[in-house]
Amino acid sequence: MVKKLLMIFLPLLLLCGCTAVEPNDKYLVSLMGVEETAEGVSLNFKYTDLSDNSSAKAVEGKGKTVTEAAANITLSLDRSPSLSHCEAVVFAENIGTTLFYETVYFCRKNELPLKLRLAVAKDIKPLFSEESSVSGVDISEMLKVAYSYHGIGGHTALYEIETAINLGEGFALPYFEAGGERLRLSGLGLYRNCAFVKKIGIKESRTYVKNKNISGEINFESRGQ
Amino acid sequence: MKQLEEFFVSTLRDNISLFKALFDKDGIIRFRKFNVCGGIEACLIYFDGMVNVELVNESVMRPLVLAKRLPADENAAEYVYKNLLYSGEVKLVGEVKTAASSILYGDTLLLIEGCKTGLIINTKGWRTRGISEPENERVLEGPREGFDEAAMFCAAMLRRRLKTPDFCAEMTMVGRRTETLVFICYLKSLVNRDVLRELKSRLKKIDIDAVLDSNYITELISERPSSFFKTVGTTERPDVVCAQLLEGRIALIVDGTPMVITLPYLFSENFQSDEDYYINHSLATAGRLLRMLCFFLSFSAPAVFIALTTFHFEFLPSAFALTVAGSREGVPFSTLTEALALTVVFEILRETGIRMPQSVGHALSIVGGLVVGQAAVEARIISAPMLIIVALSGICGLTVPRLKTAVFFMRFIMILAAGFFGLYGYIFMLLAFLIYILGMSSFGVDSTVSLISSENRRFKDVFRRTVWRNMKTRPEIQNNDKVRKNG
Repeated sequence: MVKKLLMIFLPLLLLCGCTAVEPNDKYLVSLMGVEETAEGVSLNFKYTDLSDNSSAKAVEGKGKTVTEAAANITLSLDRSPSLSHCEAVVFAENIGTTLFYETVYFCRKNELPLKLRLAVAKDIKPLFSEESSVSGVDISEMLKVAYSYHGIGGHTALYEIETAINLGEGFALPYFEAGGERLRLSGLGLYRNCAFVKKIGIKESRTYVKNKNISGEINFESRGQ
Repeated sequence: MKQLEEFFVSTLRDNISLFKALFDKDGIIRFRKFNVCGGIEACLIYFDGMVNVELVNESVMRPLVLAKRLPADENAAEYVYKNLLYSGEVKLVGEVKTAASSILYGDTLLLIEGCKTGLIINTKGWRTRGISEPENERVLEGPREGFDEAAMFCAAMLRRRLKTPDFCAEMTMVGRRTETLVFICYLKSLVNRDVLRELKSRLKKIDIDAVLDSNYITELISERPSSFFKTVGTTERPDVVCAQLLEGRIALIVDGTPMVITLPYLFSENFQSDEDYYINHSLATAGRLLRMLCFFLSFSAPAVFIALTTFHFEFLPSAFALTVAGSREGVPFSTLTEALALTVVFEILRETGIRMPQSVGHALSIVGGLVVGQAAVEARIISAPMLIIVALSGICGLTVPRLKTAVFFMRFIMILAAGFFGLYGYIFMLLAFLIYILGMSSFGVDSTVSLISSENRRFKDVFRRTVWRNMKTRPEIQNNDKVRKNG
């Protein structure tokens, strides 16, 4: 009996533990940025380098698809990047429907948190520059504050965007403007059919009601301008 | 020994020779020859240090030496028994075996010339440790008495509390060479007869040359002697034994040890403290729930921590994940190795603390726990969160001393399961232990009978300690008189 049990459990013991990764063998990515380039996609990660006094570092990967860009980033780093604690994803204003959809799909496949916050920025480069110390946690915190002050930033969770995409509805993402080390929330970026339509200012954004889509019912043009 | 099979003869010299042959080269046996009524020869045989010498002098020697008449025939022993001795317990004996076992237990044998019978006089007077507070079962409120090593006194301590003829202390001997005295104590009207019958049959089957502690008997009579979980309870407190007897349980007092065995033993008893019944019931309930939580944490905390940090890192909140990852930076060992090594170190410190004198023990815990721990973290040999988790697990384990064996092994097994298989391994082992616990029994009584019932009344002394006003019935383990309290 003991021999039989050993025959079953010993190989199991030898085979197990392969998926175990020590927490310090990963780079915890807190912010992800996606930008469309002439060659395809530019993917940016902001991660905490624990070996270097917990400093925030940025890395860029390029490829034809988001997955390829992510693979290139992994190859360039000495530790594997972990996206499980990513707090926010910032899209560049220029990305098209396909890339937007692909990025959302990538987030789902790589088990990014469901409460992940999405945002849009005119240009994401300053966010991932050497000088910028902005992390995903900062963006997440800023959106929380913005939501309590201006009522914007509450519609940015990944699952809500996915629902809106699947139902063919429009949605809005917080719009950032970055300048140097500073990051400023300047309103909402409106999307329809996964494509960026326009940006509205803070004042107009206050009329954007939480949990209500903007697919035609709310006309911002007639109200705001 | 053929002398043990013999009977006394009428010649005093031959009887003395018999004992001298029996206890050849024994340095503590005493033969005190003297003349009764100034003429008839007699001899007292006893072991020095086991008898009360004052009692021997005053109650045995003095009346015999000062006696005015004694019939010089075979009836002399009976005459002495009826008329001369002051001692409260005297019996006539003809067999050498009975006489020998009596003097070995502190009695004095009186042999008179011309008599074929001897007199066994109760002169037991060996020194005992005395009544003191049990070190392992200290309470802030409640009785402070603890058993000592003399079984007879232990039985008397129970008798003093249970002033009822219903209390019964059956005497039996276990151990071929030690002939250790064992009392089977129970309340005749409450005891579960099936359990009593089973116990006696298991005691009868014991064939061992020595019983030096109650654990010898515990291992020989329990269903699963190699189990991590106890199926037989032990206590040093007479008040606890009395409470157990009043619930229909049986107590075994073993001579030579203060640890009294109680049975049947339910799993819920592991979380009960002796003090629970002497303090406010809400506080007792809170303490009991806390002990259950501590038991769970003691084997789960390191395992779950390992599983979460190495297999399911995404489950951790981001800030905590960063702290854990940051603290592990530069640590050369894997999380699993770290947990195993720290747990072993904790057990070493605990073991050393127990064996050391109390003053050294305190210094050791300070040096071991604080200085070495702090230094190891600073030197990046271990990570601080793991040190905290293992320390928490160790401290939690100490709150349930009755489960110390189970906690010790379960902790290692769980760590290994979680280290190799993550949360799947942990949950698998948890279920395995749960199935094992639910299958346990103690002398035919289901150990978890009080835990798995759907009847609310059965929980009154399991997860909570109900007020005495509502404790109207006794537990399920006894089947005679279920009513504890009327009105």
